[in-house]
Amino acid sequence: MSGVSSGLVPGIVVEFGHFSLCLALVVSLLQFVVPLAGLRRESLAALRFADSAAGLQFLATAAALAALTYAFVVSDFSVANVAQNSHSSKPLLYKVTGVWANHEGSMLLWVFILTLFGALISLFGRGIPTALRATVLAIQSAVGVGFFAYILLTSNPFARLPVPPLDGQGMNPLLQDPGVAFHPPMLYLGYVGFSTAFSFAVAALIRGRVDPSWARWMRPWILIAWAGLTLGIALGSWWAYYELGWGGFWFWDPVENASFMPWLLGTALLHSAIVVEKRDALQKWTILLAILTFALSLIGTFLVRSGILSSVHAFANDPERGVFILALLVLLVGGALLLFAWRAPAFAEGGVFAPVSREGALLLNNLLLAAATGVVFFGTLYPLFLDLMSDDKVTVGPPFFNQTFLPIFAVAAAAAAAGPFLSWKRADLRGVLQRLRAAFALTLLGAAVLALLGWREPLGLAGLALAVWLMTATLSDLLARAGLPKASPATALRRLAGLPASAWGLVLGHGGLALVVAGVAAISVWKAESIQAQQPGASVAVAGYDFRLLDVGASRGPNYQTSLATVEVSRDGEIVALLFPERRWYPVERQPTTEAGIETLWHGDLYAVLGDPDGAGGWVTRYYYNPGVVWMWAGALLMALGGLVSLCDRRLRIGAPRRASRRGVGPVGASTAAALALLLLAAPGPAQAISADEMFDDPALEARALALGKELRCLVCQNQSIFDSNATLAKSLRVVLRERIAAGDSDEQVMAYVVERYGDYVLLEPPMNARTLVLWLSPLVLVAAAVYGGWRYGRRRRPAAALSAQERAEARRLLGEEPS
Amino acid sequence: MTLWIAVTLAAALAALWLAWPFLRRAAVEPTEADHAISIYRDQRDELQRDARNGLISDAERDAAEQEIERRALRAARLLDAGVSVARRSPALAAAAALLTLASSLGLYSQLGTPEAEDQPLAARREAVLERRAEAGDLESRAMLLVDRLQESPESFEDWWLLARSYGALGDHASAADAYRRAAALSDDDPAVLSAYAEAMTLANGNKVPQAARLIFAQVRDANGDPRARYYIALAKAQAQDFEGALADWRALLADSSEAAPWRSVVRRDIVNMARFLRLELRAVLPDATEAELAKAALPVERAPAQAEAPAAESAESLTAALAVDPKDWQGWIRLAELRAAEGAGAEARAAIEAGREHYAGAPFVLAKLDEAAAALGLNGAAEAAQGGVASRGPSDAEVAAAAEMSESERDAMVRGMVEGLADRLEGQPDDLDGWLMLIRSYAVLQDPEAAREAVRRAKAAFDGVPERLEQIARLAESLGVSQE
Repeated sequence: MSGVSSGLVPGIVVEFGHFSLCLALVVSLLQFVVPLAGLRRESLAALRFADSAAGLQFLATAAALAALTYAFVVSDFSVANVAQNSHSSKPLLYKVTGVWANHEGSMLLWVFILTLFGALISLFGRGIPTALRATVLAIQSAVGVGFFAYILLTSNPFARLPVPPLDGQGMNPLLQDPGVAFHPPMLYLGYVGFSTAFSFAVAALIRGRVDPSWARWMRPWILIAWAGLTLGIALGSWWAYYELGWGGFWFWDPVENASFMPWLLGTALLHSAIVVEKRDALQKWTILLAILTFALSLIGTFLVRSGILSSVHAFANDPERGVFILALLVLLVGGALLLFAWRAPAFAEGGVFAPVSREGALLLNNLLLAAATGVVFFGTLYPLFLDLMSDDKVTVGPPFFNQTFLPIFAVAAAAAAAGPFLSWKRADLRGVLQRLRAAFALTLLGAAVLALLGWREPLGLAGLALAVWLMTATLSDLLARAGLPKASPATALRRLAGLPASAWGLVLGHGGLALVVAGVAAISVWKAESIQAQQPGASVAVAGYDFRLLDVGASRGPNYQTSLATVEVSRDGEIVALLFPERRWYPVERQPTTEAGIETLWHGDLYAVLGDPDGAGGWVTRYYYNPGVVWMWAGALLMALGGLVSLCDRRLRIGAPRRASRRGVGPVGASTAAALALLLLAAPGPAQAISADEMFDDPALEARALALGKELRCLVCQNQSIFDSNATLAKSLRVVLRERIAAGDSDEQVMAYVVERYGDYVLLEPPMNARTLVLWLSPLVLVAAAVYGGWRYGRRRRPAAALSAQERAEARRLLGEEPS
Repeated sequence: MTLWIAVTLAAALAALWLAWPFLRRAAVEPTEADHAISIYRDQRDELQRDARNGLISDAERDAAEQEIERRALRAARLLDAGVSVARRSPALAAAAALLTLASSLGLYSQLGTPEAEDQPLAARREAVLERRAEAGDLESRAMLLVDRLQESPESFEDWWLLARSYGALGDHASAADAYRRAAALSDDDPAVLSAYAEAMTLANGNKVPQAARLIFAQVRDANGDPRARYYIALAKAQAQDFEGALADWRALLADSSEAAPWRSVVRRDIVNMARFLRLELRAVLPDATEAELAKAALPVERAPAQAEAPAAESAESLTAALAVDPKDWQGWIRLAELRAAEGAGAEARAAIEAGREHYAGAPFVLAKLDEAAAALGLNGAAEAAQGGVASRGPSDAEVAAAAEMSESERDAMVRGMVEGLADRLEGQPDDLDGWLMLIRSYAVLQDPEAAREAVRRAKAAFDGVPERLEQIARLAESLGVSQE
């Protein structure tokens, strides 16, 4: 049993945690009201109150989280939440991660991270003027008030059971995985982290002031949030890749999109804040972005928490939680937007710039990212919207997003290569093109070499070329900054060492993006896959590798039983790897999971999944060769690293007017120790759909069935194709599909037959018709709106009058002597 | 009480902490302009560095410098009116403190459960187990005994009780283990040894292992224990010594009093043996009843050693138990297995059917029942005719997924399953079980229209097979589905 004896701890931990949560609500209310009153009455004490309150709020929330964790660790089943989500036989790690692998606990982690950001701002934001800091903390706390009330009134993790059960109901085994332990905390670090940007934006609106110093004070918090969200999304994708067991990493399902939208807009925010800081331009746009980015985070929370995704009608049946978040969303975002409409017109825009300039490029990046976000937003919510308005059902699946989002994003990525070469205000286009010549030549050369090597799919080749272009341009910018090739190696090194951290952040961020683009292009186009019933000893060839099933044995883990297969992979007779795919059975939860066997090579993954026995001594197995996967994860890691490196930039620590030295911006590590499972509550079930009895013996027919089936959705899942789902409906649809193919139908006839029976809803790619016209037009409209916005912005700019000699002298006095 | 002290203390500390900013001595802060200008100073310095490194031209530098200077001027003009003095305010301090204290304690007293103590599993496990054991839960009793034996492994009493609990739970392997420990502690008491050997036999699928036979022999020689005699006879039968077995059982019966509880078992084995050996029953069992005579005259289907007495007996007790508590699906499966082992296919089938009746709404259980039926070969001709289509019930994965779904998703999944079934029956109408399942599913989904239609079509499919028609009608009647 547990090592925590009841003699060491008085038996009041849980209730003390509950009290702490109540205290946190009270403190958050005070922290919201008092500093704002202080701002009105010009009371410094009331402003300083925000710092004390932020620290206390964090401590109280941390105590509540610790108490809940204690209850999970000692299996205190008198706490309803523990009884419903834990089990005494679970390994300790999953008792701890179980704290946030459920609704109540994950919301507690949400506010914990919120208060953590508050405490960090008050601790490390001493360079920020007291009035601004206090206003930011007050807004941050307004968000907190809403969520503390939400937790205490609708989702209390400390609710007790009068008669505790002997044991708990266990935890979804899919979530009993180290990858999940770190995916949700990162994701929340991002979601919640953008609350700081929101608070800064609203504070600027309340105080009617926005200037470059504001942007610089806000920047580190955006960087933390963005890096966290990047890691969170990558970890979630990675987990889906190895745990769900069909080799996919991104399904454009609404839960994934919910985390992707804030990331897209957050990326735009990250770049537009640079323009505010450097040129005192784009202030209003940046404020709007900050509000909308956090709004998307809240919408993500709402979508996942309210259950509206599974069905509009299910949501209406049990609306309490959903309505609360919706009200919160409307209050916070609506209030902020009203404030924006009221105050923003008074803000004067500062520096002007030519269309071809660094600012121009950043504006282009912003417009494209905003349009891309709009496409994802529209595609995600359109089915809900249509369902609500007309009871019509339509599916917006990966094909839609791939056709609309990817082109927009590709333009943004291609432009990202040129951006760093442009100078501020007005760039010399010809000069820039000249400096990009080398990168362009290398890109063409790279594409030619790839084509000669046999990588000839046009789309894949274009994707790889884009990646090479971005990578070579980014690196050649770095070389140019080092003075190469003119400067001596010693000078170059000295210069590189002297580069500000944010320059390295740029290289890592853009370089990482190039790797991600390459990986996504490779796996999307050149992935090889094979599904079959296989006898032990038999071998199957996939993409030039021979997968031989050696044997399948039974084994036992701490809280599961497992069938463990050994698969030997060889190429040209030489053994490359041994894979150990597993099929686990968790008796407490009565649920199976698959553990894929994966060998990562530098160019791609060998991936094996074990299915059910076929009843004739063999097993159904799925084998994949997934090229480029490792580039994708490495690229995402580099991007997040780029964000963290930028965070170390010396300039972000400037700001305390009197004290010379300051410590760094903040220990990111502390908050990464915590974690939670948002994606997972709505996560799809494990694969292993295909059983041997339904399959064709003829591989050619089976390949046709697979290709067609990938375009059909499983009717009860979220954007999964019928070949990626184990639901019965998916299976019966597969059977229908195979019957038609066996009957000799052509591909078109098969699809027509299926659509006639099940409606358009069954197609992952929505067909173009009256009901979906709006949807298909939306990307065009959004891009047009972005272009128009950019044109209007450029048109109405007037340069400011030059300063007089007297003014310049005055300014120089204010700024002090130049450093020698 | 401890809780209230801790909570009040914490609230008081929090109140003091929040009051502190209003009690601090007066302080002067740098104005906001100073903060902003320090940022612009840094920007200006960076510009100079860039210019020195030749990254920007002089004209660019001058323009950028002017911009920075303009910002500094604006900061100096606009931001000077910032707050800069902190005043002490005991009244505000007291207000903040009181508000914190009162509302946090008040809120907690409304929402909290102050009387509830922590209940770590380790601390309350014993109490919970005891309460359940008293209420008759054997599993809890066994867990409790295991806990107790970890502390004092030398207690014969506890090993004995544990072994009996395991036996009652049907875990004969664990029971045998516990009896072994008990036997060692009891100095090889024959009664304990006999129970040990019996548990070994039961754990071995009712075949008497060699070790058990030796123990039984030892016990029989010690005190002539009837159980030992019975099992030695069984062992003989299993070793093909049928005459020896029959002779032993007859001897045991002769030595038993009229009230001995094992008489019926021994009689049944004698009847079976007589049937198997094609003996005149009256010769070996002079007082045989009519029923026994009839049974002995039945043709031989299986070797008697496999249809042995203890199994039949537990099938009967199981039937009785299930009559009291029909919500034990594992019980129904066990019963079906026992019946099938007896060769009573119809009764096994009935057990499965009865189990399905009670679990019509639970797909997981239905799947398990189907699985058991398939494993026992109860699906008969219909199954064989279908050939390729193996298990039709949902897989474990699907059922587990269903458990996680929302109400409406589950409905959708059930409907999907039903539609799949209906589709299949369209092509293979000679599947009686399929039709029965379909009718039952529609009844569960409360769709009387569809259920009636399914009954009609099922009857059409088996037109001219009265036995099947009757089965369909019976089900329809039990579900209250109208049959026109």
